[in-house]
Amino acid sequence: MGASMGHRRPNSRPATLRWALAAALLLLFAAIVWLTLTYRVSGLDWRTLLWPSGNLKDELAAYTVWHVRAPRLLLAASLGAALAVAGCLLQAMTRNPLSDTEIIGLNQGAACAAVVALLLFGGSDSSLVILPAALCGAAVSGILVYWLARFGGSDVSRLVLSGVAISAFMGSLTTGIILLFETRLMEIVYWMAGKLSGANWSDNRLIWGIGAPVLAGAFLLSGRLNLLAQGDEVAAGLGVNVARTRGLLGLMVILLAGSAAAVAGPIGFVGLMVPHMARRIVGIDHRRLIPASALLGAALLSAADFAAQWISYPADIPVGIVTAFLGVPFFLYLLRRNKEER
Amino acid sequence: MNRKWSIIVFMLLFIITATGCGASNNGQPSAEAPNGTEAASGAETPTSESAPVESEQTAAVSVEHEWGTYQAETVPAQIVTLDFSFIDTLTSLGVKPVGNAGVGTTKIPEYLQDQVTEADAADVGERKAPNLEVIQSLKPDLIIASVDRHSMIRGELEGIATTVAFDDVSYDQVLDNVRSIAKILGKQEEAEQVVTGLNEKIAAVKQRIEGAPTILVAGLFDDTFTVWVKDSFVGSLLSQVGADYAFNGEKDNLEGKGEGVHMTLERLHEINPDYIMLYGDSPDKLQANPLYQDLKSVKDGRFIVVDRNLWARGRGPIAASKILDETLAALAADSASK
Repeated sequence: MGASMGHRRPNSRPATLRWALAAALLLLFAAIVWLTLTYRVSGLDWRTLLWPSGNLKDELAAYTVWHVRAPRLLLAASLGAALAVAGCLLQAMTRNPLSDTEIIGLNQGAACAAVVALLLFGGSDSSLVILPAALCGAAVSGILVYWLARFGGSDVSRLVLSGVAISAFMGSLTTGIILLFETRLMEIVYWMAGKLSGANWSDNRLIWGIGAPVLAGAFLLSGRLNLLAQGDEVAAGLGVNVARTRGLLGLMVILLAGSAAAVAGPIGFVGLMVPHMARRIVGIDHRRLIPASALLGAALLSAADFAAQWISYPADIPVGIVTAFLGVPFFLYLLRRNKEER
Repeated sequence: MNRKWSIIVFMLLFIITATGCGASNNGQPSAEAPNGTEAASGAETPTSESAPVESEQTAAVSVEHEWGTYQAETVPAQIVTLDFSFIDTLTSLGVKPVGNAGVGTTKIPEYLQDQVTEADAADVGERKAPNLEVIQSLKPDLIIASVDRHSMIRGELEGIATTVAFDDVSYDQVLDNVRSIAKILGKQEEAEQVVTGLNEKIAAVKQRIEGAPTILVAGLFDDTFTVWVKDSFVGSLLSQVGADYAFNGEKDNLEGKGEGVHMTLERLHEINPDYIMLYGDSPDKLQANPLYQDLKSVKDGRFIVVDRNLWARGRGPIAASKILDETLAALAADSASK
């Protein structure tokens, strides 16, 4: 399965078509941004938005746009980009097209730590407890997976296997704790589906502080990623320090996925499906794949979050459920396509 | 072509199973009914043998419940309750169950723990999946089950002992349950006291509330509000005291039935009720938020923090009574501060 990525033609589409697709994507993204910011804000026009008068109603409309909608949209976009790139790096690193932060156990680690922390320190402000706990949980389970895989040898498939094992273990631990303390922990189930409600500017600052340098680093490493995709021996023969690169990639994935889970809970499927979508548009060259994944991820998660906010108004659906609904059909499609190519 | 068809068939199967899961709740009881009645008639053979005595109207009791009609002439003494609202009802009538099903580590609801302890009522496991062996070992002569939660094990329960099932979603249903269960236990007088007590409290709260203000009950957890729908227990109770419960919602027939809906502060601000009863995280972290400050309830000092265990999970007459007490206290404090 891992080899199938290498067999594809490197540039599956002509350049003009690629640019047209990229432009269309940008336009779509802009439309989503506009819709998300202004949809059903009462008493809104250009003037109140940019130069709010002292009027209370105007102030509220401006606040809604700038402090409720905007941070949520930006967070959705940044998280979408971060998760998509994390998935991209993971798939390159493990040479397995099914790798994802969900499958590798980072999300479950974050959820498990959040549940334990809520049980131990839960008080008057759950967000304060959840955020650091989820970050630590993702890091701990990431390190555990990496250590377990190294313990077993250098085969990359071990990384995925130990990830699946940790993921299953953390998942059942979480379910067990929630069942035992259901009366106190029922609400965490909502968070565990991945949600963006209540996003604020400080969440954004955390994501940018961690995400921006990592994304830049990922882009810089894309040459090495291309070599790594050819197999460990080839990459080593071409002068890549395979073990160190893989360690660095692992750290980057943990940082991206951990910070994402900390602010929004575990959002599944973006990391899994966006790299595949991007690969179909720009080919397998990581120098193009990483920016394309970031853009696609941002557009997809912000669109999913818009749907999550308005599908069952006034209730807010966790965005993770929407992405899963988009993800499963795509996944089936992908499986079918792989079969045809063979 | 062939492959295309297989995909279509697979999709259809997926849809059917998905919708089937939603519908199974309704389909289950009827599917199990023949099985269930068989088991029931097996367990109730002594009753049917003594049917002639019943027709002479000595002390026979006949009570309608969700799974049929309960008939007996002796008062059951060993009772197992399988949901919080039933242990609440029994306690209000002055009867202690021999066994009760809890949720996780909460074996008996917090607000009842001063009246019933685990020493009185043995733990029979999770209310979603009670342990049938433990129930059997208690040798109950009556099991009180919840019509939704236990429809899957109806046959098994009826095989162990006579089982009655009630629904406990709204306040009216709970009052009906008090009367029905009291009739089974021969405690009609106590039931009337419970009902009158509640009615008095409702009248007292009603007096405090002028007009028909809009009201909502919500839990705050990590930036998201869980808003209870009108058809929930608290929702219907607050409608009783003359308040206009502000969120209808859609009652989904999932576990626990039509409970809460998750909402952001932005949506809560759109509903903007006169009163908000809040539990969970402290609202302090919202102080800096203009949307919170602009809420009608916050401006008028009608944003009231309440106890979570009681408001979120309380069901039954004692819970209703305690919720009304808290409402009254909150309203009294509110009017005193003005």
